[in-house]
Amino acid sequence: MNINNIIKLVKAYFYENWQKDIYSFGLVFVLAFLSTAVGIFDSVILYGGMVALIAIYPLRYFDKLYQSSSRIHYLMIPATNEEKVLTGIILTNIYFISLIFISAILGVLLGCGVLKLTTPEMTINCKEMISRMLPSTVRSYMVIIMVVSVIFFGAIYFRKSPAWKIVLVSLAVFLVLGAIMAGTEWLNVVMTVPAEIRNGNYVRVEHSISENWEWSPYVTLCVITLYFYAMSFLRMRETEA
Amino acid sequence: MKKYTNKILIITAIVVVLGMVIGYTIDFQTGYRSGRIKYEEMQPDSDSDSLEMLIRVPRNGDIIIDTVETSRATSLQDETSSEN
Repeated sequence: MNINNIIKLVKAYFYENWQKDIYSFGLVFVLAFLSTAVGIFDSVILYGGMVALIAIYPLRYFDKLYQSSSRIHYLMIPATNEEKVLTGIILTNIYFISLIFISAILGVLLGCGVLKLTTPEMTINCKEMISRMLPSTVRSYMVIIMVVSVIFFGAIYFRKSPAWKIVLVSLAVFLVLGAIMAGTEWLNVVMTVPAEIRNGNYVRVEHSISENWEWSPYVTLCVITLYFYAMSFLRMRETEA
Repeated sequence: MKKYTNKILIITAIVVVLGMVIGYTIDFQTGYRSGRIKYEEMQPDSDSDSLEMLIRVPRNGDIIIDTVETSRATSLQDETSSEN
């Protein structure tokens, strides 16, 4: 793996895509500003917009793979498939996600500044606004990176209309996993209320899942992310062959 | 070059499905997972007092009452101890 090739790939990417990226960052900035200063949009819409832009990004990055002429041109670029995929991972996870969040933070800060200027009688805490408008837990960011890894793999795996196929396959996977969970629960758990409770003066308040291992969601997210990136490397090598 | 991606995906799908079925079955049978149902005693006299029960209900096992917490019992105990 040659660092110079990765730098060349990054330069080539910026040469072709800088305008589209600026539009994306500008859109998030405006959404964040309007959400904060005018209160037009809910933070859910801002968050949803950011996640949608991040999710579309791998498809944009690999759009050369979807037409036969540009695919051959892309695959003939003098860099190995590992370098191409690694460049994609760096641009998606470090460059794009960071700048999307920085744009959102700047938008919220500008909105907060405007609010402070226009309504001096109100005490406004900008730091609190940022934490309210944007996700603040590590798990949220890990979920975003995991989703991106799945879309990243799909962008390489499917050659025709990858967006629809990723959505449909993801829905099918969720349906199957849900069916397995529901089926296993139905087979193993008594759904009727025990007689001693039914006859007494009790109400069912929740169907609680007992405490899990604290780190299990983080480990699961890491494993899924690494799995899909490894599969992306493998699939890219096959595409090149 | 041989194409491994599809095979790995199929193997992963089989492993995940089998793992989920076996794992959840073990969890449910041992009462670890959501076989636990929480019940609360209705207390018409007072809003604050409540009695909670966590019950494990595995299909092939006995009903196990995990915990019984009574805020009323605790407060009564406190009153008794303070009187003494």
